[in-house]
Amino acid sequence: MPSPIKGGRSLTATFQSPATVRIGVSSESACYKTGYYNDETSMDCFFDPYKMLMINLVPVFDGRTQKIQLPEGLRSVPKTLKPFMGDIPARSLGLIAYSNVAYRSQAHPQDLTMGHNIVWVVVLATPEE
Amino acid sequence: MNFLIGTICEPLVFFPLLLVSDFIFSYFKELISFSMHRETHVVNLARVEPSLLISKPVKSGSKDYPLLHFRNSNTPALCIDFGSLVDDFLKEARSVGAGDFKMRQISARMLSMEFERKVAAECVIHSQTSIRASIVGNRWSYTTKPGKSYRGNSNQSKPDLYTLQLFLLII
Repeated sequence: MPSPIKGGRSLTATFQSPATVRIGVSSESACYKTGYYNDETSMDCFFDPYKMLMINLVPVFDGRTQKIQLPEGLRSVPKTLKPFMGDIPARSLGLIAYSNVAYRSQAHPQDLTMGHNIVWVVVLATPEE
Repeated sequence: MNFLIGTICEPLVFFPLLLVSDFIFSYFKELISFSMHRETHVVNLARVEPSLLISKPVKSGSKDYPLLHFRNSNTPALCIDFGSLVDDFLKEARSVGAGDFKMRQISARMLSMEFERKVAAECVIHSQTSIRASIVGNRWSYTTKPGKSYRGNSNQSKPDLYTLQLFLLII
């Protein structure tokens, strides 16, 4: 029997895996709020240029020359930082934003599985600098 | 500064130039030690007090899987992690499992003590003694929401999303 979580709510098997759950997003704020927009099979993106760019691409931003205004600037990183061009070099220093989800997978229903849905990445420094 | 460099496995040891300038050093120190900002709902799980957070669905009573929230808040928290980036699979989706799902992934090697604190915080938040996560060694994987790859379903059409999008962009 799954143990209850704090706040009186229980994590039961009714919470399905993120792979089988579809949640429609309708605006930019909703996308960043939930981090659900990275769905490889979303078909509703063809008529929306913003979704077309954002659904199948994970935003990577360049934080090497421009600094993030802490702490308020962390939420507005996609609007303030420029995109990072090229591949991310290995061992680069980065800041990863994600939404944290918890679910019970079909393979291991007795354990709680943590999912980290990536929202954006900021490259803060690269090794060749 | 030796306390920050630590052992050879620490990511910051590869960036000695970052520690030269006091201005850059203070910026990174502030970035690493960031814990939370309640107004913008941003949280660093390795630094935050876990009793301030709760896991619940976005819509009350729904059967969607729960997201991390601040207590008495309806906006899901945006979590951030600081680390050394490895295994970049962001540009091309890769198949996982038996090929049933596709997703993008990036892995990060966190600072040693932040890794343990993050695991402990998640266990406390969800009232679990142990959790399952996508971890290889000291590398934590971050993925997109997996989507079905249409593999093995010959009756269903197989849309090539990238070709279609490129075609539409050209138009």
